[in-house]
Amino acid sequence: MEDHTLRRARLVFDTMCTAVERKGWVYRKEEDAPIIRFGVDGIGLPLQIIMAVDTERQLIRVSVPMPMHVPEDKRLDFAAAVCAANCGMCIGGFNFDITEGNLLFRLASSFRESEIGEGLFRYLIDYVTVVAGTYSERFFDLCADNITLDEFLAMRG
Amino acid sequence: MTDQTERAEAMAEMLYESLCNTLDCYGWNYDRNDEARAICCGVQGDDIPIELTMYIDAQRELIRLVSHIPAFVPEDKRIDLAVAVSIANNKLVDGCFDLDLNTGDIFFHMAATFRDSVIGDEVFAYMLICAEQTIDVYNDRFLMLAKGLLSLEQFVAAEHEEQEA
Repeated sequence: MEDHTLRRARLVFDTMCTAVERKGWVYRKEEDAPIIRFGVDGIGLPLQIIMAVDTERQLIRVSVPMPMHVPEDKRLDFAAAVCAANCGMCIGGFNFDITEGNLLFRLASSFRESEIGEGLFRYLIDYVTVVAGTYSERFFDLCADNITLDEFLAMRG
Repeated sequence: MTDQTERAEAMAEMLYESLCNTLDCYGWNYDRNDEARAICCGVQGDDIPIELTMYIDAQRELIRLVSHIPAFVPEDKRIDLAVAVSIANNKLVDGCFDLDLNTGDIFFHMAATFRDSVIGDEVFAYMLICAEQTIDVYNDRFLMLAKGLLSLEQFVAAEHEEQEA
């Protein structure tokens, strides 16, 4: 990998860490990879945000695991619910592992040949907090049988 | 108009020109809609032609790419397709397939934000190439599923085989 790509990725990661610190969030840094994790407790259920710099693909990656495990008998409903949630999403989307029953929100944004400011990370954090937070409660309710799939679909948007 | 909005509008205009210049440099044919800051280009995939629309969304400070997959999904196949779309999305790093359960339309979308940043021209090329390659893998599979030429079990088996290869 070229030196300037590695330098850019390191700079993007430093900017990411600074942006999160300035938001007042305490994060945990992985020892051998440019990945940080921190918790947010705003809209919906408490969530963990994982932010990473993918040096090879030159991507800023954000993922937010939904704190629930979907039982086998609900997985078809969840496949439909996730499609509805993703429809019209501006950036990113929910990933549903239908084999394991795990659900997460993920997005990526390329930094190829780009100068990335702290504001970009604040934007991404605010966005995932609202989107993942809003849907976390709806998915939780669907998983817990508090609402039906039809009710979930009616709540879209 | 606030300072932030003015900056976003100016940046969007600059990015739109950069997008068009990048496409010119690559020699790609495209239609431009300057008012919407959007371009539309067609790519011949391995089997089905792919139409990509890319536009600069000043309000959300996003470079957005959307592609309509030419596979109308009849009502009785929408849950199968929802499962297939979930399986496909679960393997992607960037971008996302969307199935509209109400209309039976399938789209692919991806985006990059330009908030507080100076975006390099390579981002446009990356998005177009990544989208084209991703769509090319799945558009024919979705179409065959929608038409009943492939069962969900066959789709799942093919995905597992690929993962193990």
